[in-house]
Amino acid sequence: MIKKHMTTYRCPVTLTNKAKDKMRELGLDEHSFFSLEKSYRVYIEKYPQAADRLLSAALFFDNEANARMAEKFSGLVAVLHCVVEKDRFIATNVTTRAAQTTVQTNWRRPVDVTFDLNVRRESPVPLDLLNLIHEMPVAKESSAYVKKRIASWEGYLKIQERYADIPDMTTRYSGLTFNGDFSRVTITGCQLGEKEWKSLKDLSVKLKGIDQDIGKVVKSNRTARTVEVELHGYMEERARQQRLDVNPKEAVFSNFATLSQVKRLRQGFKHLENGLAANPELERLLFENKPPVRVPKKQATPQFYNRLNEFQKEAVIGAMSAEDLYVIQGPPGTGKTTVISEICLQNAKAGLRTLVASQSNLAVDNALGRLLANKDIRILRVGRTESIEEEGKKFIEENVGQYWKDHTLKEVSAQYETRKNRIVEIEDEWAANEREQEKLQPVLARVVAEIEVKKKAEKRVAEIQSMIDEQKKELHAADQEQRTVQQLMKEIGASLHSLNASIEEDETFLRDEPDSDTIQREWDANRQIIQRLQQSVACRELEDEIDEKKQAIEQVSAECEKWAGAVKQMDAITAKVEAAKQIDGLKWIMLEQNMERPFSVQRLIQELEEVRGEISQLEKLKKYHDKLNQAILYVEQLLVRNRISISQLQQRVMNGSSVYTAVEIDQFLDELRSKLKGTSNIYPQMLFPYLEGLYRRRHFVRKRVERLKPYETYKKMAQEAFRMLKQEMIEQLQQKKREDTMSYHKMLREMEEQRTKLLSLQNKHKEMMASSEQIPNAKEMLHQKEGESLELQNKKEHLEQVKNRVEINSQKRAKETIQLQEAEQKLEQIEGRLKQLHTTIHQKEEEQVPLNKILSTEPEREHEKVLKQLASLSFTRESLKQERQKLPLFQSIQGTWLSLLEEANDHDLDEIRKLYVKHANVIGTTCVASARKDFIDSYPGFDVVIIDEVSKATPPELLLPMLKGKKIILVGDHHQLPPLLGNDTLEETLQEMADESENFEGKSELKKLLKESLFERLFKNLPKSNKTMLAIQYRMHENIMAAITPFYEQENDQLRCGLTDSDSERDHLLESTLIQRDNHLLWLDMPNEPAFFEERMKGGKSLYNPAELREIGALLKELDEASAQAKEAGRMKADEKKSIGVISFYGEQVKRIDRLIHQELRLRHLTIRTGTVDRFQGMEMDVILLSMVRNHQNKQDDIGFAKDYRRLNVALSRARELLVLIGSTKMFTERTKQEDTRHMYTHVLEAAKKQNGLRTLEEVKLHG
Amino acid sequence: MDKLTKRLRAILLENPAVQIKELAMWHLPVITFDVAFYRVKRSKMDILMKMVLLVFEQADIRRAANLSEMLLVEELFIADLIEKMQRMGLIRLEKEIYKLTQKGNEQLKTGIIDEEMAEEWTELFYSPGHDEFWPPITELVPGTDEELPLYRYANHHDSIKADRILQVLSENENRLEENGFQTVVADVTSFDQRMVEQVPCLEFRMYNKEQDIFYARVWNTWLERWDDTLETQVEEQERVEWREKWAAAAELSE
Repeated sequence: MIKKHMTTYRCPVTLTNKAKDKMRELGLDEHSFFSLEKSYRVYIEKYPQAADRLLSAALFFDNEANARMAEKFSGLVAVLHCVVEKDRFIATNVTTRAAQTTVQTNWRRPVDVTFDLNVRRESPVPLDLLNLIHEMPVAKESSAYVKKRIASWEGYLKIQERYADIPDMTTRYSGLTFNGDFSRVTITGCQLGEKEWKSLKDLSVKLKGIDQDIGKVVKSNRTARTVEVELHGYMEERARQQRLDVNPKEAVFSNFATLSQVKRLRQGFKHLENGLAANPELERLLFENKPPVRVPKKQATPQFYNRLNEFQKEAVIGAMSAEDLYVIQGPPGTGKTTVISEICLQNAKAGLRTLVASQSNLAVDNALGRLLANKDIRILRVGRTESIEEEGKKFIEENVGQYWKDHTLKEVSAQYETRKNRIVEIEDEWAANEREQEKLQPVLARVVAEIEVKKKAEKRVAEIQSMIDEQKKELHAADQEQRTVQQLMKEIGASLHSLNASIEEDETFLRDEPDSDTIQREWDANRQIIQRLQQSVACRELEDEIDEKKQAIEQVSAECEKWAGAVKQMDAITAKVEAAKQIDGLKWIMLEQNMERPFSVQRLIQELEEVRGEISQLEKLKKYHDKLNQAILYVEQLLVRNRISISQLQQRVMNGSSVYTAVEIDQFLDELRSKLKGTSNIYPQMLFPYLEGLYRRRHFVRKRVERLKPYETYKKMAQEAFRMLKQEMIEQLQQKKREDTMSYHKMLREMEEQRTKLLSLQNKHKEMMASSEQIPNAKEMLHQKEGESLELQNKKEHLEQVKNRVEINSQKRAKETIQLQEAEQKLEQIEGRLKQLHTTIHQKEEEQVPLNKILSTEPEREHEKVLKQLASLSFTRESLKQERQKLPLFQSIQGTWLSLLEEANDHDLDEIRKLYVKHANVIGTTCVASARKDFIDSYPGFDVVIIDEVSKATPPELLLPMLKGKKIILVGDHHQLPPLLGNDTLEETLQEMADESENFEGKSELKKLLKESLFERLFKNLPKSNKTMLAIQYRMHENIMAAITPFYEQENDQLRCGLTDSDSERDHLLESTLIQRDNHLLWLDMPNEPAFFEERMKGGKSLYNPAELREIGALLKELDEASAQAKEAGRMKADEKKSIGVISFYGEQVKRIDRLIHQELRLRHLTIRTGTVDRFQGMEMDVILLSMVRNHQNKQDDIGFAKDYRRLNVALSRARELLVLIGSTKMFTERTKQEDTRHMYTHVLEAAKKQNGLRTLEEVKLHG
Repeated sequence: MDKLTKRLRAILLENPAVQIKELAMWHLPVITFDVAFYRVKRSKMDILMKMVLLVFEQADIRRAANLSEMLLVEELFIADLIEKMQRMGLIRLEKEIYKLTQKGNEQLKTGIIDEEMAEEWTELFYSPGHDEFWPPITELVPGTDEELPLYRYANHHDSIKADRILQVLSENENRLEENGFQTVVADVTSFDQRMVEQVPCLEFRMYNKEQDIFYARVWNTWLERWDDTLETQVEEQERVEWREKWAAAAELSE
């Protein structure tokens, strides 16, 4: 599978002694083993990792790639069990596996390794190799995953294995009796054990002396000692020749076929477990809830070879683009096979090999039979020839040569015939070609001439145009010039006009106004007046100044006096201070005079205050001392009088140190006094404490006095401070006095100055008074006069300006007049030129008109067209020429080829058969056959595996072909029936098994699978890119389709009818009493009454319905007659037969229908097939009669198999033109237990009614 | 003949459920043709190789695709064949064009030349009722004393044409010789209908009472087997009538 180039790793390896021994047992020592091959292709399998174990792996030595090893070990696979370390592999054991062991699995990784027994530190195990081992999956874990998941499929195998372990049974028999058509044989006189009789069913039967199985057991009858066998088709011939009944009469019943089938299915499980699927992700695709499909590759829409509708195209493109899995749901008649055919062909064109597999041979053959015959597609049908249907027969190996020949012959002769006609055609075409060419030549000449003329015209037009352009340019310039001149003239005119106006105005002005001399005079006079006025004003101002000065002097002299007073006052205060005896006097002066109190003064005052405080305290203490002394004296006297010593007490008191306030002392004394006063009797002892108190207080007072200074000191201090304060104050006052004196002197000097100034002003005034007169209102007049003077000045200047302007303007006017004249001249010239230019341009344009007409024609286009035609003609001619040349060769070669092919015999085709088989790219086989050993050997893998009718196969069956495909395409319909097991449906089998044993494991799993098949789950869970439903059906008349559309309502797309005209394309052409031409869906209603009830086989479980049987017989006759009439009427061809299928839900009913048809009816215009609904899946017929069987009034019972909507869907969707249901409408639409089922059948009934297709038995009877 | 009848009857009646309702004997016409033909001996070379060699001889072929286009044969086949022929030394590339080698030329010559063999004669037996050619009879058809009626549904097929004869002969007479040759029937020179053989047949009309079915058993003495073709023909035509006849009789007898 994987054959890409791989890097070869050098890998150091050592062997444990055990491994060395094992290696020696194999006949080699390790050195010779590792040097057998330059490098080994090994497959590494990783062992499960555990925390306490080193990384370990097994190396499987490929016995194909390693040829020498294989030879040495006679094909055995060597396995090296290794611990993987960073610097080496340590082989702990060496084992071998059988030659056919698969080395390559999905759980192993291939590597090329050169083993080196020299372990060197500098070259450890390559990092890439280590990484590879680290990252690869652990084989056991992957297997375990598969094992766990696949367990849910076990049930299927269990069912099939039910009787699997039956040993072969051999018996003698007495005879063989065959049935009517040699399809069954009854073996009579069998001698079997009791148990053996029970397990005969479905066993394959062999007769001694006959090499092949003759058939399968259908029935056994122990009492009659007979075994009924269904014969294989290939046995019929021998049976007819009476060649089966040979001696010794011995039959062998064996379960080999079933066993080998189950074995193959089991092997499928095993392969998946061992990672042998072609798609390494297969298990996850199958078992994960969200199948991990890879994103499909975008692909361009290919060329389709079949006619496909949109859904079919989508399916084909999807299937081609998908990387791993694609699912196609195909409701009945939707062209699944066409899609499969197209995919096969597309695959073939892409060089891919496809496996087409299905559960049944019939489906495989159907699919292959519909493949397009195309030389790129080489179909091979693999399987047992006898079980292959006619459709598939031509593709079996022995027939493919013939098939190839037929196909090739057809193709070659078709081409040969076509080419024969082609010879004549070529000549005709050649002649026509020449005629055409001749016809085109003159046209070409004309067109060429026309082109020439046009070219010339183009040139001329261009010339003229350039001239015109030039002229126009000039014209434009002249125009521009004209406009400039006109503008200029306009400007000059305007200027002249304004000049004239200005001059006139100025002249008028000059004429009217006085001249400049007069003004000058007036101005001079005015000037003199002004001078006089100015002098007078100055004189007045001086007088004012003198008055001011006088006032100032007065003020200054007043100030002078003030200062003199202040000095005197200071002297008085100083005297007062010096006289002061008391501090308070000084303080008063300070306050009065608002004197400053610098720090020194404040300090002195403070000091005085303190001294005064101390003195007053001293006095107070002294007073209390006296008081106490007095008291002490008194008390001491009292005590002395009583002769009580007090010296001791005095001593004691000296040591005390109590503190007393004045108030307390007073109280104490008062208390003492009152005591002494109050009592006449005074006990000296009582006085003692008082005396002590007195002493203490006196001591306290004395102590306090000690802390103060003596009175004299305080007095001195106070005197000193007082003196200093006085001095301070006097100094301050002296200072003030000095300042005042200075101010006084300053004022005196000021007065002197002012007086001097006044004197000078007075002098000046005197002078002025002498020289000028006094004019009243001089100031106002001066103002007026100065205004007049200014006005005069202005007037004079204006006059001068006007004069100047008049002069300038006059000059300007003269100049501009001349300019105007010049401009007029120029304008005239320009106008002349313009006129000339216009004329020229017009002329030229006139000249262009005819030329333009020529230009507007397009001979080039025609020219091009003609050239193209000619080119294509000559191309055709060239290919005709080649064809004419090649044709005879082709024809002669194909002629020879045809004759060779025609007479080709089998031997001739043998070689081609070999080529064909070698290059076969579409291989068809059944699911189970795809696991046969010979098949696996010939076809180990496929690029694509297509499985048809997937819903009919069990998952284990599907797994077998799936294992082989890199890509898997599943085609099926989960709304049709699930798999059959043998002859029974799964439900039947399940029921049977449940009856047999209650605790059948896997039953619940199976039930789940029955509810939702693998196909359905995949279809539902895959992303949109990996699935399609084909929603257009072409089988049924749209009226028949109406019966099944509800089954597909849940899907994304509704089921549609692809027939463009159902009525004409699905016309059954029959007319009878019951059936009209426009009837396509009929329900023949059987009454729900005992006469029409179902019946049960004696001792059997299958049901049948005799009433329905009768109706079917009648109906078939009617159809036969109707066909005969249709033939008479020319609607049907004389040798044509209507294909009719008669189907039923119940096998017993089918058997009886069969018998009825063969034994009691002669239907010359019909071909009839019968079968159960289940067997009919996949088939189609023109007409279908469905016998529904169930009809009863038993409340406990229901409608059995007919409940399954999938079965009903299959039953209803087999007919192309006409579907007739025969059964009780009441039973199915009313008596049925489940609501869903009633609803389902009611829909069918309604559809029939709507199409006027309900027939009651009365009608039937009436017509019949 | 009686012996045969007896034997067959015994075989049929082995099944206790069946009755033989009626026995009939008649004869089936089988036509004998005298055929003259000749065979040719030719090389065993298969036709595709022969054809490829022929094309290489006649045209300039550079690639397998060219041949594939001409012969309408899969390119893969041709490529395979070209490789094989190169290996065998039949062809080689000259200036990118495949040419026959000396050996190839020789092989082709022997391949296309047929060596005609002497004319041969044989007999063919044809049953119009079956539209089949039958092998010659190994045992003598048992004789009968009485004159048997002709098979009632013997229909006469269209006359046999030469190519049908050729086809049958090819199947019978083509041989593979040793040393790389085969002999093949090349042409039918003449064929004449010589005589009509009368083949007696025994017809048993059977009834299985267990299953209530009627059927026919017809023993063909030429083929020595129960003849399904004849049985079907008889059953198709008569079975319903038998039922009517014998069922009615049964009802009467009850």
